[in-house]
Amino acid sequence: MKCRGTWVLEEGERFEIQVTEVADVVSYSGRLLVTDWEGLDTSPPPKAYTREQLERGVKTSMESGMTYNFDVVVIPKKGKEAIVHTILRFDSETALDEDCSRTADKPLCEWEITRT
Amino acid sequence: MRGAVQTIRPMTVLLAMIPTGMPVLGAESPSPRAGETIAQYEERLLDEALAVAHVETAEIISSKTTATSPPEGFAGRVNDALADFLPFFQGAINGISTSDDDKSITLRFNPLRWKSGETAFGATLTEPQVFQPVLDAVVAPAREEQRQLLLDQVDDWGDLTVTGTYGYLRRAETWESPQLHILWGRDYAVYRPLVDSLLVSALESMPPEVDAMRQAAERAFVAAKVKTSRAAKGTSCDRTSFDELVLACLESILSSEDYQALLQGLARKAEARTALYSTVRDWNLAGGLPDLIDNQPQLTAKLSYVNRDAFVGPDSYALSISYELGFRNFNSVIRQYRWLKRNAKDSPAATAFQAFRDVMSEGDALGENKLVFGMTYNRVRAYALSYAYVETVTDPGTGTQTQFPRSADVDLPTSSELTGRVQWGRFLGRSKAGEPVPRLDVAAEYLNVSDDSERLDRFVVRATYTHPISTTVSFPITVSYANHGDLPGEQDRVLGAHVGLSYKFNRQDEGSDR
Repeated sequence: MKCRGTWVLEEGERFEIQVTEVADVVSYSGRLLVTDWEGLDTSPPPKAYTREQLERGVKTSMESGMTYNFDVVVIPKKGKEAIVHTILRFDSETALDEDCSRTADKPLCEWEITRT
Repeated sequence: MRGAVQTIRPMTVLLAMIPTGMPVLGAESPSPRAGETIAQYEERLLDEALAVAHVETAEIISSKTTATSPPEGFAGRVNDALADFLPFFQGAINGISTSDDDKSITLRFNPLRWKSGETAFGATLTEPQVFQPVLDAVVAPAREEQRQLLLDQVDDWGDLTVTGTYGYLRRAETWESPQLHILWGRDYAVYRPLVDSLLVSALESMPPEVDAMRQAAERAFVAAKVKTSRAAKGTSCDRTSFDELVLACLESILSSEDYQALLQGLARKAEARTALYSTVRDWNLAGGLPDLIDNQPQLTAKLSYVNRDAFVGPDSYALSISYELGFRNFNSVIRQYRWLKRNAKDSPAATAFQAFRDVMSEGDALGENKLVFGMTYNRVRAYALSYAYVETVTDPGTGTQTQFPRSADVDLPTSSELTGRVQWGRFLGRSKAGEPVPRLDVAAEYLNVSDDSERLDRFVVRATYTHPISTTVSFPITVSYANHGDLPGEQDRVLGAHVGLSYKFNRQDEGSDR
C-alpha cells in the first residue's frame, strides 16, 4: 500500500499516471500542480482530471526545471476504506504499480515527479 | 563513503552547533536524525504534517454519539462449506458476510439493475435451533437430551431465509440534466457522474494561496538542494545524509547558511503540504459526500421467505416496505445548485462544489436528522408435529433404569402480524472542537396480530435521549409507553423508564498515513 512518493526523472522523459478503482470507492479525481523552479516562473496553471481521464492515464513530458505534484482525492464509501490502484510509468520502466487505501479523514494520494 | 558516514554519526550533535542566522525550523518541527537522508527527513516531515492535519478530523469522528445497533449474524462452519461451491457462482455472487456472534451467514447476489431501480437477492443461513414449542412439549427431565437428538437430525440448511429487495432509484447523469430534480436511492453508482464532476470543480477551486505556498516552498527547497549538492560527493542529493552535510559544513564545503536554507526549504514544504491537507479537510468532501448520499430518500420493498426444518419451526414469509430520509442530503446540494444557477446566472461561483459547501456550512448539516417509516406483514404457516421419544428414568433407590414412551405434540394455526414503525433521530446541537453532542431518538411501533392467542395487538412508543459525558462515555435515558403487555394477562398501559451507561471503545489508527 503506497499513497505517496517522489521520483527524479531526466529532462524529456515522459511519464504516465493511471489510477483505477479497486474497492469501496465513490469517486476520485486528480490535480496536477507544476512548479517551475528554474529561472523565470513559467509554471502552467494547475489542471484537474476526472476519474475517467485518470482511468485512461494522464501523460506528461518532463521539462527542465519543473516539479510535477499530482494529487488524487479519493472519496470512500461511508465508513469504508477505499482502495485505488496507481500505476506510474516512465519511458523505460514501471516505477509504481500498487494499491493505496484511503479513508474519509485521509483522502489524498500524493505523487511528485521532479528533476534535479 | 558509507563507512565514513557511520564513523561520524556521533558528530550529529554538531547539528545544533552550526551558527544560525535565522530560525532553522518552526518551533514544532523535528530535527534531522542521525544517519537520516534528505529524502527520509522530507518523508518524515510530510508524515508529521499529515498527522497534524488529520488529528482534528479523527477527534470529531471518534466523539460522535452513536446509537446502539444489533449485530448481523453468521456461522464460520457454513462459511467454509460455502467456499467450496462459490467458485461455480462467482459471476453471480456479490458478497458473503458473517456475523460477529457466528450465528448466521449471508450470501448476496449481484443485483439486477433497471432504469427505475434495482433488485437485490440474498440468502441467510442461521444456525438451526429446535423450535421452542416443541421443546416445551417434551417433559422437562428429557428436554436437554431430546434437544441434542433433534439438532443432530437437522443439517446446516435447516433455517434458510431467502430475500428479494427492490429499491427505487431516480438518477441524473449531469448537473445540467433536465432530470436533475429529486434523486432517489442510496446506490453510490447513481450519484457517481455528479460526484465526479463535483470533485473536479472542487479541485479547480483550490485557493491560489495554497498553490503559491507550495510552489514557493518547492522553489526554496530545490534552490537549497542544488547548493547542497556540492556536499553530496557524487551521490544523489536526496540520498545524502545529514551526517555528511554536517561534515561538509565542518570541512567548509557547505556553508552553514546553505545548510540552514535546506532545512528551511524542507520545513516550508511540510507547511505547504499541511495547508493542502487542511484545505481538503475543510472541504470535507470525503466525509460529507458519502453522508449526503446516505441521507437520500430511499424507498424499498422486501419480500422474504423462511424455510425451516420440521424441528426448527414453521415456514414463514414477510413483505416489508420502508421509506427513509435524511433531511440534509444530496438533493439539498442539487436544490442549492439550481438556486445558484438561477441567481448567479453565469457567475463562476455557481458550481456544484459551491452548492456542496453552502449545504455543508448550514447548521443542520451534521445533525444527522433522519426519519424512517416502515411497514411489515409477516405470515407464519400452520405447524403440526408429533414427535415420539423415550424418556429414561432412573430409580434413585435401586439404580434401575425404566423407559417411558412419550410424544411431544405441537399444533399451531396459521398466524399473521402487521407491524408499522416510525423512527426519528438527530443530534441536538453542533459539535464544537470535537466535543460530543446529545442525541434524541424517538420510535413508535404498532403491532396487529391475527390468529395468535399467545400475543396481543400492541402500540409501543419509545424515546431515547443519549447524553454524552465524554467522547467515550454516554448515558442513554429511555422512556417507553405500551398500551398492552406483550402477552395476554399482562398489565395494560405500561410506562417504563431505563437509564443506562454506554462505553465506546476507541480503536487507535495503527495504519500508516502513507
